[in-house]
Amino acid sequence: MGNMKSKPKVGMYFLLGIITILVVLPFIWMLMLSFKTNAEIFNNPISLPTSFNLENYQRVLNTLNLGQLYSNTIFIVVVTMVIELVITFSSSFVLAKMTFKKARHRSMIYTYLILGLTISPFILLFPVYQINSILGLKEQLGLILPYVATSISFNTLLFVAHIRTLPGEVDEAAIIDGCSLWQLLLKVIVPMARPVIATVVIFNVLYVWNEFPFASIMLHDASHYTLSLGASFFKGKYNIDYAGIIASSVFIIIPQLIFYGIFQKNIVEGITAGAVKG
Amino acid sequence: MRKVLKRTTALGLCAALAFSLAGCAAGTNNSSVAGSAAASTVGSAAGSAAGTGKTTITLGMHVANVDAQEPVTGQIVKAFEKANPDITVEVQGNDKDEHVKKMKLAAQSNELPDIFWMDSSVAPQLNEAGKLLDLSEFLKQNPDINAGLSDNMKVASQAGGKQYGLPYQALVTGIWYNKDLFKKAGIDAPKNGTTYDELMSMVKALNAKGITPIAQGAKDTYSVWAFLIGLERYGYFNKIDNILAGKEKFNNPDFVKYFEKMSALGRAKAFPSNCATSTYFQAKEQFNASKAAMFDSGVWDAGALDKTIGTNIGFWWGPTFSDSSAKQTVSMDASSAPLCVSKAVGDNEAKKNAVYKFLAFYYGKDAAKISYEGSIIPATNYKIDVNLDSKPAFKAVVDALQDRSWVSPKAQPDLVLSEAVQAQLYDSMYGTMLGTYTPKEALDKLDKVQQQQ
Amino acid sequence: MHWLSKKRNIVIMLIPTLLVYTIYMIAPIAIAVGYSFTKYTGIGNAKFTGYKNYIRLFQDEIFWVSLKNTFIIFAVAFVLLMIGAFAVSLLLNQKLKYNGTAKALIFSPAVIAPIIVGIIWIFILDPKIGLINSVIQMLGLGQGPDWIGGKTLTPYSISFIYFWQQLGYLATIYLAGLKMIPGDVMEASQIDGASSWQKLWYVTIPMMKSTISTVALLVITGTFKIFEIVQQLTNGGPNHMSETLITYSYSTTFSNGEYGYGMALATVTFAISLIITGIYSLLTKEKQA
Repeated sequence: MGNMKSKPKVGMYFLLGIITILVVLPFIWMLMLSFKTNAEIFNNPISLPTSFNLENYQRVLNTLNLGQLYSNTIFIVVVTMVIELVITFSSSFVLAKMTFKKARHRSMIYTYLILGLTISPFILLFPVYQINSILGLKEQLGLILPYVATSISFNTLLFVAHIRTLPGEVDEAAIIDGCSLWQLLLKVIVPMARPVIATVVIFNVLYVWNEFPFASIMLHDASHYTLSLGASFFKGKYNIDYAGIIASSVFIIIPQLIFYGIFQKNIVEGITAGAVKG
Repeated sequence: MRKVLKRTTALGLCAALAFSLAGCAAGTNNSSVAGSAAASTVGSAAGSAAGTGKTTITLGMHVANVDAQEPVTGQIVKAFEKANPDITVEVQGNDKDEHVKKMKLAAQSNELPDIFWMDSSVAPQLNEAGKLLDLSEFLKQNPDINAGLSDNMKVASQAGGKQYGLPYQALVTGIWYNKDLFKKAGIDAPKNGTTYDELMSMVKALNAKGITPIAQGAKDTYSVWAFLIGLERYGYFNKIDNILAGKEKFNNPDFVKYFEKMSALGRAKAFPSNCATSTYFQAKEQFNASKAAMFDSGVWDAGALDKTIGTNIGFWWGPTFSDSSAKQTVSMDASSAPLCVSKAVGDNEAKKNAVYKFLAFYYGKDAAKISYEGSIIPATNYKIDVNLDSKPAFKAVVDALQDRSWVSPKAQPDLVLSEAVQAQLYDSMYGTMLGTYTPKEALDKLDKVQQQQ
Repeated sequence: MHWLSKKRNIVIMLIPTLLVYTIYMIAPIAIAVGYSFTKYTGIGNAKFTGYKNYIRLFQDEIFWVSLKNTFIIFAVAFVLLMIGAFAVSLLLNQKLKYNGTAKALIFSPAVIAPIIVGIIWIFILDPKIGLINSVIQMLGLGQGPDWIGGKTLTPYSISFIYFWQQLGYLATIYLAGLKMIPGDVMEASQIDGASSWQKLWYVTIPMMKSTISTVALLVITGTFKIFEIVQQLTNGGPNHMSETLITYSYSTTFSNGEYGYGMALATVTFAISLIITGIYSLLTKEKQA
């Protein structure tokens, strides 16, 4: 057993290493660029920065009110996530597990909800603005519901696919024990679906964190701006401060990486191959 | 773990509730000044803060960071507020594409800012939809300003007898050149009056020395300023009215000749090898680093060029053509995109007075001085004394403007076209320069798009 | 499950999702499609023009170019991602040291806003100032090809960038699926003496059907929505040669002020994406237990 495993393992380490490095290379490149001046970026592309000056980062800190941008973004992310998790998990559970009078209804509703995957968000910009105007929703409120709406297709796709694979015996056992629907959901289903919930959370947090088009048209008050709008502070009409954009992107990216790292470890990792209903 | 999850969910829901209540309050508030860039709400209807005697007007700009990207305007606003302590100007901006999008949306829900920059091809549409205030009254009430603005400047934003806007600044474009690089190549630098044939030999000589002749970036399709001037040297404004009315075509012998010249320049490698993937900004960096001998842009870069190229800088209006019957001594000093005023302002007496005061300041002598000192040519033509010794680039432009034998057409050729045709013009010009289209193909595309309007 | 499936419960649990979705996704789509039958600049009133935009669309050379480019991107990215992400997820599923770090790093491209992805890759692929060609020149191997901004390579470059960006993201989904395979099934096959390859082909993949089709759907719909990457790298240029359906639709709408035509392009894009997704679903339909 031992010998058989060691050779492939070395190969795997090697492969993993190569893939990781290749994937990360552009990032490293970006980090290097963030220490260069604009002139260096365009005229001496592959040289190392003349000095690891923090000039760009300084400029970003001076131009942007990062604290406010972070808190605005976090607020929208949290509210959006809570709402969408509750409603999409519930509706996906219905579609995955509950019995319908006509099975056709179930697939019709499912297909209806998946359609959104084919839509590129910018198409919705003007109509959503108009709808928000009619409903009288402004600023952040006008942003949260569209974000929830755009997450529905993806969440439904993932939740339904995974909830379906959960073994039915556990549900039956719980019900026989006198479980109500909500108890079933919270105490049985949700814990079993943790990996996919974590995945959905990660993806949606990232989406909202980085979202730009809707944020730019719905947020008028600069004190409500989110991080993604911060980068636009470096795009003038006749000059684009690429170095500034890159440096500000680093500020936007780092929290996301940390978030992913923590979330990943605690939730997905927490379940080893044996513990899931086996 | 389950308990944790349950508690987290419950906490999350409570937090969400609390947040959304707080968010509700924040969302409907008009403005909360916090930290950096001045905050404002677009089109705050409740402009006058009751009881304090202060009026607030909103200014919508086409850059997100006014102080860094349009510093002259930022300074003018501050100077105005200082001179008028009872008026506050809330500046709000987004980068140009977002700004235009937002203004279009704001027009629909009647939430336009009081004063705002607008793209030249979009402003007429806003006017037709009745969203802009006619500034003829303002001009009548301010005869000095009326006199200080040339006819070119006013005509650019007039339609149906209405003055729907006034120029944001003067649009002065041309070709910058680096005297030093020409010396290195052993040839004379260009000057006003240099012909196209002379330009071609310059291109050859520069390429021989490994110097990029003209820095251009095709990714920013609009960055063909100097070549737009060339259109007028082939009689653009004699023809354009007929073309727009459908009586003539873009594909006419004069324009074909001109496009053939652009094509020849491309084939002679006058432009950078990565022109197709370069932005205008990259082209500028090339010129700043003295890697390109010439640079197609305008007076707005004077400030930066003063620092990077210094006294080696030169400025000219572009090559003249011997096979054209139109006037060759064409310069460019016309209206840039306009500042417009929302129609709603006219219904609020206090606001209107404040807005008029701002405009009077913006188009007054003090603001003109601030502009010159910031290396920007204002829309007005007052004689202002500014020391230009430390500004060789700006001085080069001012000198060129003072040679009155070179006359500007009433507008930059692209700004009288609709959005779609304008976009096609840029595409056709760059396409010809890059060799993607033949001259006739490029012009036919223009005609096709024009027909669809 | 039956006695909990009271109609009332089903309705209560479905309504919020359906409501938000209909108001903020379906209604806007309908409005957008509605605009595709008009001439509209974004200001004032839209003028009804019937099928004119669609007729123009099919005669529009740029539309066909963008369709071709979109398909190239779709085909290349689909193959690379379906296989590549699965392989990476298998790798990550092994009990290797530094697994967590590798996972986070490989996932990281998905974290960057697409617009920044575009900017970073400019500095890698640009024929003149990009990393790759600079290295090629340094090695004395000539100028290097026009990865972007040329006549043909751009869509392939875009596919590759999309592959880079989505690799970790999709591998994560595959991984979640792998982790939900009951441990006893894997153990059983091991005991039966199955080789790694047999395990993979006869056990793992069939149990992952649901996940695989999820990923496939995401890739199909995702490639049709690629936007910022192209916008930053070439802006559809030069002269529309690297235009994709979405970038063309966007520039028509917002740069040309031809909102109606832009929506017609968007509607056609949406329809094509839908058809391909539909075809894929039909092909895998028997597998839905």
